[in-house]
Amino acid sequence: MTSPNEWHTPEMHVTSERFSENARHALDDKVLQGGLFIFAKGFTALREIGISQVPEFGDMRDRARDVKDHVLANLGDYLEQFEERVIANGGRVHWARNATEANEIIARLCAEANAKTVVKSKSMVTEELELNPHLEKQGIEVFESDLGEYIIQLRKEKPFHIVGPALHLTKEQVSDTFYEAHKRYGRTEKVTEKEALVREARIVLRERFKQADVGITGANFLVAETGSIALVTNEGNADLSATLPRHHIAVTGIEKIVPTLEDLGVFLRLLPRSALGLDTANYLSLYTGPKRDSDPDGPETFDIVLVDNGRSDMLGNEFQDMLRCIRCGACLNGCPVFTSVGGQAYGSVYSGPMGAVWTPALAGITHAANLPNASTFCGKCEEVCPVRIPLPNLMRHWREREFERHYTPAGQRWGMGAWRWIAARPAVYRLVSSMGGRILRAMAARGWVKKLPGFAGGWTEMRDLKAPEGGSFLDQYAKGRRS
Amino acid sequence: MGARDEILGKLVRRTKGSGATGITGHLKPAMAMTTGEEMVAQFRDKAAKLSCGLSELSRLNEVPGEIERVLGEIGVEPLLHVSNEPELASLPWEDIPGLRTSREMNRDALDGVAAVSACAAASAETGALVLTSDADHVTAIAFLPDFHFVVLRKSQIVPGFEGIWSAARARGGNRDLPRAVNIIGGPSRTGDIEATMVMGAHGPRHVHILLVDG
Ligand code: SF4
Repeated sequence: MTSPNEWHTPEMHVTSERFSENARHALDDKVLQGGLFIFAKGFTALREIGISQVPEFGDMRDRARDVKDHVLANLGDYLEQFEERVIANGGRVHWARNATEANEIIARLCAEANAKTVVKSKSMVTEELELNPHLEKQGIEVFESDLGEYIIQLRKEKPFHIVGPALHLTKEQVSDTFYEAHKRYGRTEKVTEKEALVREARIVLRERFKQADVGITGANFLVAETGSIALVTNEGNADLSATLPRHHIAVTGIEKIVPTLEDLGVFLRLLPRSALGLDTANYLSLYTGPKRDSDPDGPETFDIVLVDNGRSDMLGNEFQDMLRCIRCGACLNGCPVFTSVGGQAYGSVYSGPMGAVWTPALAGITHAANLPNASTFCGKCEEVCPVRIPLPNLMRHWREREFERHYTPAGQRWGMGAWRWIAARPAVYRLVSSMGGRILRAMAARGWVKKLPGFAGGWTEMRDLKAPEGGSFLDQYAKGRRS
Repeated sequence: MGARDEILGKLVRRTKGSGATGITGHLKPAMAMTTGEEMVAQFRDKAAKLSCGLSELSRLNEVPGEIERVLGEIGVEPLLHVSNEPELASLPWEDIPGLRTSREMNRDALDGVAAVSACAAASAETGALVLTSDADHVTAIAFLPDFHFVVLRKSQIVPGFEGIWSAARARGGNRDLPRAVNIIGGPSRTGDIEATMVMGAHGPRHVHILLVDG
């Protein structure tokens, strides 16, 4: 996907090759299935109720799509404008072509600050970069402060969902984790109730906020006209990270830019509603430059690290639409595959439909060829996406690239691959077999079947299969919920 | 060539000829366009949905007494950290015998206490309060205390985000924004353990609005 005169060095480590194996384990995991129920039913219902109160929601989605398309067509100009405003407000902008460069920049900034401890708020980009181990190698202690991220950091796991990183765990698991991890702070009592667990994390992390030399945040949006970063959270941890430590570093992807504050409003209206059905997140904050001379608090330095890491390779081709993504998670919650197997099966920090398109772009299709196959073509993801990304089409593009690369007949590669994958999974199988006819008709209407004959063969065969053992989709959820 | 120029060069090459695209669709919903009493009523309603407390007062001078009353009601020690904003400084804090006040605004002083600040605006669209940093406003006052009281005059309520941006720009000298613009939608909360909403994650457990006429 790169012309010969262009560098292409995105880096992201994934274990997506093991998707099928991971998925099989996930389907047997009762606790996990309970967690997935929350996304599939709970979050989806919340979203529907939330947007039903805004008759203009569909029009705002069009607006958001158009604004992002406009930005992507002029990305260099807006980034330069953003950089100019950041510098005018006393901040600095750093550019990183790939993960190695980004991690080196951040480590250097931490070294300049003589940092011993860093407090972080949730940032998918730093997960993508594997920043924490990099900083730890330099002897810096890193504390995640978003509660979900903190829990999975202590358990050395990858996020389960881009919005709810630890929702696959029970409160008992969190209790065990805190009990072990907090002994070092002299906390010997084992707390088990949810409120008490939240309070305990608050007490432990409050001290980390006060002590940390550097606060690292992501940025949900960058505003070109003001040089501001926008942070959207519910806990307040991003604001503490951006306010208490002497140095603030914001790490984010080059695609996050919006031209004006007025444009930002559209996205602030769409994001909390798409993620959780809420009118607003608890904290929507804009930070512009370091502490001003007259300000009584705030960081002395404000550094922004703009990360490419494969994003520019998606520009100007069939994957460009993916760069509109605002990481709301709605496509994950609606996806029958994600809600059957969960985020960890994908072996990537980005999971679900958005992850199935994003991961191959960042980690290379050779490492993530399974992911674009993890789809039932139901189209739910595209239906809910606030920026109208045609996710099923983009997954299809990856498959096509995969064929080209292998010069194998379509039917033997992903057509059969998808068939085998689904036949091995009772829950997905049931769901898909009930939709098979409708999908085939839709595909025929769009000419996909003709274009990819193997797919039709695979699905026709699948419909004739005997239903595998294991109970229906909802049975599995119900079981998971009870246990 | 450095990373910056290489990235920018590549972006230009890759987007060449893609041209300007038209922008369609709606910017804002009707709920962001209310006016007058309807706007104030919607603000009350939305703020309550965000779990904010609300007291309605006819005069600014009633603020100290009302805060003392609310602290008593929730059973919290009547010690209040008062922000240095001019509209608060002139209030008759000393006239309330049961209430002790402090002007300490450093991080240890604010940690876990009750504090009161003014604000720059509030939005009827969502019920959120807008706080901006300046010489008299400590950003941490909205995050470190357990109880955050916010004094809001009715005339500061704006219909939606567009009004927030104007108010924030006005505070920043009309071109750039103040360092921090915090749009606060009620008490801090988390759903990260078993998707159950728990109040008081990292920020205040209670946000109480003192809505004053005028
Ligand atoms: S692809 Fe769309 S629905 Fe999925 S996370 Fe991104 S913006 Fe949300």
